[in-house]
Amino acid sequence: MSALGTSGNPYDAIVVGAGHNGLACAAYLAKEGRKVLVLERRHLVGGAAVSESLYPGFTYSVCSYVVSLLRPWIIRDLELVKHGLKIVPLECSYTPQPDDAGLCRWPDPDKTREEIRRLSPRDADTYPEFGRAVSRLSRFVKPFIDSPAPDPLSLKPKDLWQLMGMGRAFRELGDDLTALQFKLTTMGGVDFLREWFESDQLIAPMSCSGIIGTFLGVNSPGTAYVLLHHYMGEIDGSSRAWGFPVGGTGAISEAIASSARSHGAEIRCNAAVEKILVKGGKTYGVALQSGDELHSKTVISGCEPRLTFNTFVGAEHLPDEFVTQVSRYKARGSSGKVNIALDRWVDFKHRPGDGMHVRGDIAIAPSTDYLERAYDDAKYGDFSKKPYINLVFPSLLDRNMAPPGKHVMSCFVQYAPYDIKEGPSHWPEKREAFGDAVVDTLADYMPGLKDAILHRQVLTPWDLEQDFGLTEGNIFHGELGLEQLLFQRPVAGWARYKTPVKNLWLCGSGAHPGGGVMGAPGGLAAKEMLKQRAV
Amino acid sequence: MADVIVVGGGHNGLVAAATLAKAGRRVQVLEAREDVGGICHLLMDGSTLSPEVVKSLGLSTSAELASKAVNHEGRAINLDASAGDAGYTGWRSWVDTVRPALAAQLDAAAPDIGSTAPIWPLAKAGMAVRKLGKRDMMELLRVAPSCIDDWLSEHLTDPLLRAALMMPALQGTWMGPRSPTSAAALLLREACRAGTSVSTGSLPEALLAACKAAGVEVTTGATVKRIRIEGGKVAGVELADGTPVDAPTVLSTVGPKATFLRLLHPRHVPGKTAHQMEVVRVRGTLARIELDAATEVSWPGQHFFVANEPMHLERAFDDVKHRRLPTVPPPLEVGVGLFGEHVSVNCWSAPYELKGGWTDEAKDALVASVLESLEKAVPGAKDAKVVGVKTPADLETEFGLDGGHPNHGEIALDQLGPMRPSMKLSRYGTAIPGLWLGCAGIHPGGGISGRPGLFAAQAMLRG
Amino acid sequence: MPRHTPFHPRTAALCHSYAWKEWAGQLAVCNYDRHSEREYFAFRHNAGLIDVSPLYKYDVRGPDAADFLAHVWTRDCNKLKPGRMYYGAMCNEDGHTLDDGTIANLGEGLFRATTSEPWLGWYGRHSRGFDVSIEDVTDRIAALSLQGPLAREILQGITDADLDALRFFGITSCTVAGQAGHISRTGYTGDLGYEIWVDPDGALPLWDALQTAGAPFGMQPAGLDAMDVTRIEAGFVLQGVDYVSAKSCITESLKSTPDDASLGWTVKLDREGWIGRDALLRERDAGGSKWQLVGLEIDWAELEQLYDSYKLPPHLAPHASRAALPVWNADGKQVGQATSSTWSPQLKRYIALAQVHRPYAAEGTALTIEHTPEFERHRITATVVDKPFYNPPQKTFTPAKAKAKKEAVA
Repeated sequence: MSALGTSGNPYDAIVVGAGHNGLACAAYLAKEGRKVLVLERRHLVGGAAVSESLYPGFTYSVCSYVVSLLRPWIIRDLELVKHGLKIVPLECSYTPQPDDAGLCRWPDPDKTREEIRRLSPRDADTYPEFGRAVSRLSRFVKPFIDSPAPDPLSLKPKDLWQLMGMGRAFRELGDDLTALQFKLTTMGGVDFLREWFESDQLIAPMSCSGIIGTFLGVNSPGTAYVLLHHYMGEIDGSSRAWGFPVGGTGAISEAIASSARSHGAEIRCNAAVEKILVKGGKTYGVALQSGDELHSKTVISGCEPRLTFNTFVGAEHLPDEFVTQVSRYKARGSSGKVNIALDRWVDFKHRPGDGMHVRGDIAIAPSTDYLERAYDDAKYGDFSKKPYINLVFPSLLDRNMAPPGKHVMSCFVQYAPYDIKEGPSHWPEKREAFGDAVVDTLADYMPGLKDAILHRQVLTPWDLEQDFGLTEGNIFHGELGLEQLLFQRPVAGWARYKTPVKNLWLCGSGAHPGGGVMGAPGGLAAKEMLKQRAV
Repeated sequence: MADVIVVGGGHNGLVAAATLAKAGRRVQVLEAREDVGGICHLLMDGSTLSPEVVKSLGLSTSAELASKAVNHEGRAINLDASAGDAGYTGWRSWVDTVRPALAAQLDAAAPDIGSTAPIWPLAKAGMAVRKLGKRDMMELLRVAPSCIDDWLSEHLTDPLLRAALMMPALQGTWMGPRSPTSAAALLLREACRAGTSVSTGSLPEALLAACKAAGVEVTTGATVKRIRIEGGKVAGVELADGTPVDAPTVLSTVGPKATFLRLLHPRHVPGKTAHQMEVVRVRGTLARIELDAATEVSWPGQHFFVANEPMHLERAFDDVKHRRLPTVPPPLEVGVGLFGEHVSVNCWSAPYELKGGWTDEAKDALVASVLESLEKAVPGAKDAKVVGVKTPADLETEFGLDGGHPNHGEIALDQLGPMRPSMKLSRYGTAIPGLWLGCAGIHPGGGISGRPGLFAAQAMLRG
Repeated sequence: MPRHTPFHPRTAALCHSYAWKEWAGQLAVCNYDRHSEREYFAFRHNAGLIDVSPLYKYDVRGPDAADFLAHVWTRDCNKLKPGRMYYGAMCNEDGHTLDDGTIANLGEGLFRATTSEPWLGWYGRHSRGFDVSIEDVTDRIAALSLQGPLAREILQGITDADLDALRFFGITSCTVAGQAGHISRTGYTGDLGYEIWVDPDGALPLWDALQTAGAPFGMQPAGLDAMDVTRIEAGFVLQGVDYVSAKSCITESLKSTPDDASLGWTVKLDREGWIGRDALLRERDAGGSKWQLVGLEIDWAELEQLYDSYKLPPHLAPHASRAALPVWNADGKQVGQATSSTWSPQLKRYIALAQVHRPYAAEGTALTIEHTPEFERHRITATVVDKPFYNPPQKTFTPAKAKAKKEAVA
């Protein structure tokens, strides 16, 4: 490390955490010629977007397992395809029922129509109409996730212009869509969908998208909004919003890391940060757990805000009001993950075979009542006895994920509240019981499951916190509630990646526009820093 | 012939009628029940009545009810700083800071948010909030969409106090303390408070007197079957017995759903409007139980809430959500002598859409749960004689409330302001010349408020 | 993947071209041969037989059935007598056209509406307060359309219905090919024609009976391509091509009022209480529709000359084109677009349906239309002409009525 960065420091920027957002931020900065170092506590890059082999021959997408909204501009700018990114579209959204064939929603609208017709002919007609109406709204929402958060209080012409532009876009929607937008942002998923559909078997799986990663039920106000995300893939120019990365979710991180390295960024694993160094209200680098100090002009944290501010920075370096605001930041973990290695294919009771219907995401969401009950359990401090499960068989989409004839099952499970009755640190004692509840639930739909399990990895919210630095196990680095979005993410007044500590920036999912494997916070943070010549 | 027929003699109908009559219009009120006042007979909180109504109709007011809260261990507290919660004063003073900005939104017709609407009223509404200053505005924007439990937990330590402050706010919503946006319901309720109160029990008489004084003709026992439209305009109404009553203008105060889905022939209701009304959510949760006060019980006060802590309310909401009878002794609101001699108990967790329906057995089970809950808070109460039970289903049939909902529409962010009951109908006028709306189903909504009636009348007088 | 219609076993066996397309989620033959000329001439000279099962079909019953249909359609269905059908349009609240189709009064309080798009959700949302039941019977009815000047003679051989007496837009229940069904005097070719509606179980016997009865008359099974040419000659608009259903339009400017879409004649603005009327009244008061759908005839001599300059004979696609072509006025300003265009093999004219700004809709107006031989853009004169381009007398002629009239005179 002889060469110095442009600032005279060894580095222009040190990124804390090699999650996909940290890597994206680093790649953008490196691309612009900045000298960047990324520090990762674990032995591999990816953070929560990581693939690991925990059982010989099988690869798990340990945490995050599907990709929905990875921003197309990031794929273009960072040349991720050149760096090995391959995303296979999911073929179907299957919702099995315990007593019948359940519902498959296909990319082919006619096939979907036929499926829905069995539940309700009326809903079959309404389904495409609904899709069109909601897609039209995405045009209005897209600018929000592809640019820094608007600042409603700023009087700077540029900010006012951005606000006015959004206001104008809103008005141009026309009355019907304005009303729809209003409803979508404030209503509960089930209530919203009931305005359109009558079949509970259709509403249940659709309403699930709104609860993923939140500590809310499908009836809770504000959960309808996420429905929009499902329709956004279309205007991104791809016909299907959801996909599976070949090689597992870690492959996305690998591709971004490779892009960053190709631009000269340095990525160091097994380098756990102990402190972000602050003097006189300014950061100048980080101290590693190993005792080393690394200096840099700027430090960018890809970690969860409370981990960043409470642990790495320390309240003593922050204004009191900011500390209070951070303490009010809500990031209650509500989900867990179960990864299973299967000795053989296991049929679904009422739709056997490993055909197209299982080459997508499968939701255990037989009714809205079922989902709501799952939430009730969690509200009172227990994991759901019958949880909502979203599962994917990566081995059907990428044959390298498991040995021939064997399979990997990736199960996202909700609800598993971080704050169980006994206290979060008691999760390890309940871990296997939680895993059993998941397997028992799945066995209702896949009777042969239990005998085919070779290995199972159960991740509770406690594990997500301890192993992946997700405070309280929240997969989005903070709930995606209305009060924690846009100019309020992570806290009001600090939504543009800057922090009260000079030269310390945020680039993780705790920053606008939030969680999911989007890469937007990382990319936008880097762009903002470059624009402000902060680095 | 009257200039205006007011359909429905609830408090909003009477307020509107009196206001119109005072401006020289000949007004006839048609009320289906034998008495006027509608939900004034059910709701206990008279502190939300518009001061403008109080003033213009010369109503007499008193201090707000000194409400109390009692938990199932019998611990009773006052709902103010004397409850001994260190955070109360700070919380209350912040609420008082933002109240004027919120009240400003309620004391005017809703702004038009349509694509062709002028931008100025919208900007004005925004400015009122911005005037609070950066900190309070940001805090307001953070608090409003969050859940009431999180918000109050940030300030107050006493779970009983938190629960009791939530209870009036959650009335008329379909939410529990853990539901996002429930904090907005509390802000809304606080914004309505005038600082003084009227007695809801005697409000019908007072309003009737004001109407009579202004020359309004009030007819009770007159059920309106149809609003007659001829040549695209309002021609009057038709009563249940077939009698036509003519008038060029009709103000309907029986709820937007009832108006568009029942009182108008479907031919006169554009499908879009019909659909919008159909999806207005009106899942009532109020059941009313009247007890004979003769029993020897020492009631903690004239008005009190029975609750334990926020999650007690959440469990009660779970029962509503799952459309079942109480699985926990439900939280209650109790008025002693507020309505005549009786002790009136409002249980706000009785689902309108109860699984299996409101059979006699279901009613008995509800009463048993209510008495069990009351007994835990006020020993001896279970021996009181039950003299009346009204389930949400009864409220629907007896008061003409869709879904048994006292506000003609749930309190929810998407059903407030310019969206109440829909974008085109939130400013009292309708697409049908001569037809106006003015009830709790319209901005600024429910409770004993009088604002929708007053604003509707004012809008009609402006033309 | 599209579904199969009840006639699929027969149509698939004959479809040597393997040219299929998706129609309302079902597989439909484009043309049986490599091109559609034989089928086209069968329609015009003898008879063509086409599977129209994919049409969406809804049964409406109940005391308010007529009232409800009069509410959602532009036609006053209260006046629709048993055994009669209407052609009409449906609008949304903004007066924009959603779809066009037919409504039949089948008697005994049963009405049947057919459309190109599914509307059960729409009907459901707009039937509040009407005492009706609405049922999607799309899959419960197989339908064939027999079109052409010899259609009556062919069909009369396999039915007990009195086809001489069945008037244009009449419908009758009858026995056909040995089974109960309905025959309506309707079609989409602008000629004499019938549509036959039966239970899907009876689909194949019906097909076989018609094939046998039609063979001596030169009847041919026909596909959508041939029908497309005939419907342009007949001046019929096609939803999704000549206008786009407002429900599928992403932008406002794509939406059409019935007037814009040449469906204005189905609209009676003085009738109250139907969806879209208020908006259309407002439009009328504001000066009326800005667009009109007209017939265009493209100057053949000029076209020949153009091709000649490339040393080529004139060349047009052998089927109708649905690619919109820009249309300009004399000053070179774009004033509209041709939405459907075709060479009419029978009329020997190059014709088009075009949406143009109203000032250019008068008959005889000379416009120009884009033509691109050898990938180079040119403009050719196109004159606004009256439609239909082809309108034979047998389309509406009722033999029994004429006979009765003659006898009365005698």
